[in-house]
Amino acid sequence: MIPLGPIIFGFIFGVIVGSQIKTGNISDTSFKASSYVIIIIAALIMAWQLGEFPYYDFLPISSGFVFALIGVLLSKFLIARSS
Amino acid sequence: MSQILKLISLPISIILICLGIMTILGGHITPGGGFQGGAMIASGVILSLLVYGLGNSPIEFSHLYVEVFESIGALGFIVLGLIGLFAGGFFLYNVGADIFNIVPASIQNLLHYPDTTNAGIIPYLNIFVGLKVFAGLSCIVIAFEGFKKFTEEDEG
Repeated sequence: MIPLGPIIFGFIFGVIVGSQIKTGNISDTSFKASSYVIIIIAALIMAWQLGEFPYYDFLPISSGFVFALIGVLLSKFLIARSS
Repeated sequence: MSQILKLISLPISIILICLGIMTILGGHITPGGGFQGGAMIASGVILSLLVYGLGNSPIEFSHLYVEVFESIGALGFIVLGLIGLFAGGFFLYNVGADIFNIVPASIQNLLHYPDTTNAGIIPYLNIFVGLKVFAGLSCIVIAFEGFKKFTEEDEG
């Protein structure tokens, strides 16, 4: 059985926080698509090292962490308009 | 702040936010929970605010945003407690797990966390506490940064 709790609530929490990430505010540093690829790679390595946290073993990575990242990045690109 | 800090702080903030969310979602079975996870999410926001400064930070919350999510956190906790009071007879009675078998099955199924631990409403309480702590701590730091800016403008 796939536990839906961390998937649904990780995603919702990620969307809530990620909707306020607006990189358009930054004046002297730019974040391009490649920056987000690096963030995704680093986060996936971290999720792999965290393992099946706390015990959800349907994926070999931490599912709450990964779905939070998906929520943050999706809402950053779709909802946070000034980016 | 230096260019290196500005380049690295947003990715670290995003990863800290995800780590905080993960801590909240594992709170019913591992060390951690709503307060700790909320504080970790707020630490990501604070890192960004300290490095970029108020007004230039990529993660900034409006008054309305903080107000809405702080209220949702507090009200959600109270509502879950009241559901326990009216359905089970005790404030914050765990209607999702229902160890005394006194709650109708419909309410029990509604508030049962989709998980194999049979934790009932504990993960929901963690989520609401996390939401409140994250909004509250971020709000405190945004207010301090605002006061600092205000004082500097007054002195200058």
